[in-house]
Amino acid sequence: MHVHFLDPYHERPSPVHRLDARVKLALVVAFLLTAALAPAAAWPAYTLLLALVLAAEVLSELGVAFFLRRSLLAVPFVLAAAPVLFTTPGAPLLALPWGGAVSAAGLERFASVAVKSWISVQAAVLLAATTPFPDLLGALRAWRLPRLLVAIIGLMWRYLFVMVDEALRLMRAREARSSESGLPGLRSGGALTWRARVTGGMAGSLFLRSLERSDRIYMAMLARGYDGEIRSLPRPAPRPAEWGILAGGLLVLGSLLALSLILV
Amino acid sequence: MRETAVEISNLSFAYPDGHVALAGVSLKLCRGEKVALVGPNGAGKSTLLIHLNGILTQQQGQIRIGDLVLDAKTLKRVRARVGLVFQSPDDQLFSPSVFDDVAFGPIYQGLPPDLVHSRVSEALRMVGMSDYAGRVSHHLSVGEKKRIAIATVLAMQPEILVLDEPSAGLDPRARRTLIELLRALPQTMIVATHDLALVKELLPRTVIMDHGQIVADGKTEEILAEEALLAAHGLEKP
Repeated sequence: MHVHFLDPYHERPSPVHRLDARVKLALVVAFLLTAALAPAAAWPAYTLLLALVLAAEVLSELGVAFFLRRSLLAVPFVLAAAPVLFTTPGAPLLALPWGGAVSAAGLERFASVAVKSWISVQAAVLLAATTPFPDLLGALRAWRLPRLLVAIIGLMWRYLFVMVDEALRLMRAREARSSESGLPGLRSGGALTWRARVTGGMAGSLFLRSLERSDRIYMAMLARGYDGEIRSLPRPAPRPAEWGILAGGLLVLGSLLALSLILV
Repeated sequence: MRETAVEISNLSFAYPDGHVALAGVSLKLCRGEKVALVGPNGAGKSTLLIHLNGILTQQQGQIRIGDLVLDAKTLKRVRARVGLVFQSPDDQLFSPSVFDDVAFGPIYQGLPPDLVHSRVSEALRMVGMSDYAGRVSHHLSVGEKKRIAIATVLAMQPEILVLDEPSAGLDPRARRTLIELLRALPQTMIVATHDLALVKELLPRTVIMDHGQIVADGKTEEILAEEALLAAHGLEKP
């Protein structure tokens, strides 16, 4: 029993997959910054950003539908922006029964936030789906993210799967003993509070075992000479063409941002 | 002819990734029979075992436990009759104390409190762990955990005991205690194991599985004498 649904990487022979992880990471971070810094209601800029990310999605050969499905992740974050609907001053568009009002400016800002998060999540999904996780870690390190952070992210990723597997095995063992007696007149299932206590016990034992496991892992790492950095063989530097893609991409994103700031 | 306890007919199962784990398995056990299930890793032994308890549902074929045909309606009744002991006792023991763990099955069945108490003390007595009810499962040795794990299913008074690798990871003394314990239990028993010495001592009938199929089924002494057969399926004569 293993969990694979968590791993976002999808192997394809596409140019997006082949592009150096360092270049991809830099471009995606620049893309996210551009989307975040573009002013509210800069619709032409949003359209261009969406066109860029869609083009990359098509190139990745994973199918646009795949990204649209995954980008639903953005929905909860969009809800967090709902208060701007009511707090932005402006001409009231819709009066609410308890006194507040939705203003036209508020609606515009909310729609901007929604579109921007939707586009940004697509870019992040694109990066995760086309870059194997170890390459991503290497890229973070290459861009000088502190090695402690990179080590934490890497170990978390590695053992997340182990922990989910363990949780699934605990749940399976519970299921195996969730039975109905042959005796007549009994209601199986137990009281709600009892079930909650059992679940709490399971969470506690999972925590204890994770803690013990982390000790064992750390000792095994020290035994092999761990000093805080997980080393890998040096990767070849990005090819000139890839530097070109990086420079071109940054230029496009930079001018897009400048235009959106000037024009709105 | 004794009563049939378990009847598996033409059971097949493939995992979602396409790996075929069981390809037409048929097996019949009489009441009180003790059977060893042996074969290399990945032969489908564990997959077969968790089918008996309805953790995985058959894609083809039928499983009959006593007079119950296993399906969605009879699932919970079947789980009371088939006690499944997992390989890792850490998975089986998820409650803070030994008592809570052994009491889980009876409480879930909705038994009245005094009956739950008597079931728990009876089950702990059978595995020789009566003094451990108040202990924290987490701090026990592997051998002790293993016996508590067996008690957790005995508390449901199952007719059939299904054990996955019961002797794995035990020191010789804990293994000896376990063998004596299993010998004393009257239930019908299916034991998946690599420990052929345990099989020889404890289980009169042996079934060899490989590639999701049963490749041999017979008296343990006869099967363990066929060195070529054992070697062909990655086993060694004890």
